[in-house]
This record gives sequence, structure tokens and C-alpha cells, in this order.
Amino acid sequence: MKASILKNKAKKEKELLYTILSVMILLLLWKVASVIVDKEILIPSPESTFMEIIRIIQSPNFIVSVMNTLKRALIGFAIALAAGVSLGMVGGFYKPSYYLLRPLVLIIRAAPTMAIILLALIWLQSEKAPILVGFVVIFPVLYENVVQGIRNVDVKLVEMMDIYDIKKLDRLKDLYIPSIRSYLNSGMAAAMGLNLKIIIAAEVLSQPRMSMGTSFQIERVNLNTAGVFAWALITIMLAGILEQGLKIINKN
Amino acid sequence: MKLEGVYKSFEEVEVLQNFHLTVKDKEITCILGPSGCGKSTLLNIMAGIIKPDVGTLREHKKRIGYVFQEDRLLPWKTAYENIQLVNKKASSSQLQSLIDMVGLTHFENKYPHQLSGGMRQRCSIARAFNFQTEILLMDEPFKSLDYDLRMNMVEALIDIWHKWNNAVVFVTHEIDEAILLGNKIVVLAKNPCRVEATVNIDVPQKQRSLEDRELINVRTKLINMLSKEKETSTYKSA
Repeated sequence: MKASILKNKAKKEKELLYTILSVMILLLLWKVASVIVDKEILIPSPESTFMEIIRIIQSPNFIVSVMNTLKRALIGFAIALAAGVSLGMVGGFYKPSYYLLRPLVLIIRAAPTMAIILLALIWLQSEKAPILVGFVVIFPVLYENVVQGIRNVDVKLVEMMDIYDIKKLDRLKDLYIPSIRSYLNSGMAAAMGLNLKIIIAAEVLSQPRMSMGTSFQIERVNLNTAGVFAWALITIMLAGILEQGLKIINKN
Repeated sequence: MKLEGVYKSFEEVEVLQNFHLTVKDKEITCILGPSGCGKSTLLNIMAGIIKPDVGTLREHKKRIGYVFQEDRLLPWKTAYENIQLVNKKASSSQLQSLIDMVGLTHFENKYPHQLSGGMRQRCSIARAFNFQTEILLMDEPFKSLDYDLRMNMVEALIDIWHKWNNAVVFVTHEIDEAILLGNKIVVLAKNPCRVEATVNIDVPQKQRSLEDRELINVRTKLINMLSKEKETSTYKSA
């Protein structure tokens, strides 16, 4: 037992070492590329990007921009999760509903993101349009996960529940929800990161007041490529925090 | 419970043909037969999991307990919760006595993956008893256990049955299990499944021992029947 814990610890340390090494190599390549190109407007150096990050974080609008985007991301995610779980259950349990919903889900999934952003801009206010875009992109992912979770419930366990006359509500609670959860956990983590990226992309075009997407656009208009790089890194960090947060919630 | 003139085929292979069987209350009926003779199909028809093509099931019981070949426990629930699942009204002391009875004391809070195969099967037996069944169907429930544990489980089952005193249908291909448990042993022949012979044992289960002269005679008789059936089916398939 002790040996296996030690082995595990050593393995984790090794993984961390490789990750650090990989980041160092990427930073080095970035630095080399910026030196070769030698134009801050095309590829800013890692140092200037780092300085930009500090400047952005210290600016008075930073927290408000991040919070506005984060709020949209969480609202979009919650709506998509609620719709994905409820419609996924209907589609998973009743084949006719699955086939009825299929064309809609296929259209939503296949429609180009840019088309959805543009339509959302036409239909909604700039503050709300990004939420719709995020919803449309991640809803099919969550819906499919729920349908698969129900479809792949062990038939032998269903048979056991038939024999023991387990009530519908208990079946849902004791068999289907735990089965869906294992499928949904991986889908939710992927959807959360994707949602944030899509919402920021929609914000770049819809330009709501003070948001991460708007900040991207401001940096681009000012030809401050280091600022765009800095916001991109902030987005990556935020997506990482959200995914880890979700993992912790799922674990508990 | 009575099966009358039951026929069942799967993809044109006839498994049961004009099958008759009567299961009496307060008796253990052992169904003994070679592997693949249709024992599980028979049990599934009795449980109502599958419907016969032709034939009737009379005096059907409403509360049927079923111990499957596999444990069929919910992997995300502990042993205690799995047993509780089928009868949420059972008190914690009732559940605990079931757990003690099947020898899972101190393991009640473990998840199925933390238990051995035998322990998982004992848990599923406790679950069947918690259902307060009118008839208990058992499909080779001790198949995954080693010989000693199997004999312990047979003893435990006899104890529980004495307290509970209802009908048990116990499917097995182990002669020793059948002669220790059964009031009636139904020997099946295969292709298609039919009743080859019925052997009644009058000695009360608690007084039985594999060294008894009467049981030794029954044992020899059953071995002869099964080996004869094996020869016939080999001859048929050749």
C-alpha cells in the first residue's frame, strides 16, 4: 500500500516535470519566433505579453469585464445543461421523441458558429446574444451525453429492477441518474471550456459593454497584439479554472 | 405455481417443448440439468421476464425474488444500500440481521467492486430476502463460490428457508446442492428441455448429510441419470 502511494507520488512528480518542460519549450519557441520575425505587431515577445497581462489585470475594468463574460458563460451553461438533461431524458427514454428531436439537434450541431453569431446579433441585444450562441453550441454535446447515458444503462440491472418492482422515481434516482452522470461528467468539462471560447467570440462581434470579447476587440483596434495575446492567455487560465471547479463539484 | 404445456423457441431453436412443472408452496424444488438445457429460460418464464410462445403459467406469484447467476448489484451503491433498494421500509435492524445472516458483517458499507465475487453474490441473496418474496427463484446462485463456501451457503439457505418457509426454485447443475436442498429434484434432459425424472426426498433438510445412505443412493441414481442423458445427447448431436 505504502509502496503504491510512493509510486503514485513519483509518477505525479514526473508528469509535472514533463508539463513544466513542455511549457518551457513552448515559451522558448515563442521567444525565438518573436526574435526572428522582430515585429511586435505580428508576434509580440513573451515578456511584453507578460507585461500586458499585468497592465490588464491592474486596469479598473478588468474584474468587471471578466465577471460579465463569466456571468454569460455560466448562464448559457446552466440553460444548456437544463435543456440537455431534460430533453436528453425524453429522447433517451422515448425513441419517437429522439427521432423528432434529431433533425433539430443535427441542424444546431451542423450550423456554422459564425452564422449563429450573426443571427443572434440580429435577434437579440448585444448583451444577450453571446448567451444564445454558447447555448446553441454546447446544447447538442450535453444532450447527446444524456441520451447515450440512458441508452447504455445495463439491461441486466433494468431486468433486476423489473423483478423487484422498483418504482419509476426510484429507478430514475438509483439507476438512470448515476448512469447519466458518468457520461455527463466528461461532457460537461468539455462543454464548459468550449462555451467560454464561443461566448468570447460572440462578444468580439456583438460588443457588449465591458466584456472579455470587447477587450479583445479594443486591443486589436489599437493594434496592440501583445494585448490580444495577453487576453488569450487570461482566457486559457479562466477556462482551466472553470474546468477544475467543475471537476471538484462533480467529485463531491 | 404451475407451468402447463409451455413451448419456447429462440430463433427457431426449440428450448422448451410441452413443458409441465408444479412448484409447491413451502418446498424447495431443485431443477437439475446439464449446462445449456434451458434451465435459465425456464426460470425466466416463471419470473415473467420472458413470455412463453404457447402454454400457461397458473397460480402466478406477485412477489418474486430472483437471485441471478451474476450479482446484478448497483456499482454506485454500498452492499447495505443495494440490499435496502428492494424494500425501503425494512428497518435497519432487519437489514443488519440479513447482512449478518449472509456473512457480510463489517462489509455492509463497501461498494461491490471492493467485495469478492462470493461476497457480491451473498449480497444479492440478502437483497432477494429483503424483498419478502412469496417465491424465490435462484439461478445457479453459488456458481462463482468455492466448494466450502458453497456448502456454507447451502446451510445458510436452509436456515433462512426454515424461518421463511415459502417456495424456492433452485436451479443448479451440482448434484450435492440439489440433494441437500431439494424436497423435490426435477432432472431435466436437453434438446429440447423436458423432465427426465422427478425424485422426492423425504428427509428434512436439517437432518441431511452427504454421508447418509439414502442420500448416497439418490446421488448415485442422479449421476446415472445425468450421465445417461449426456451419452444420449452426445449420440444425438453426433
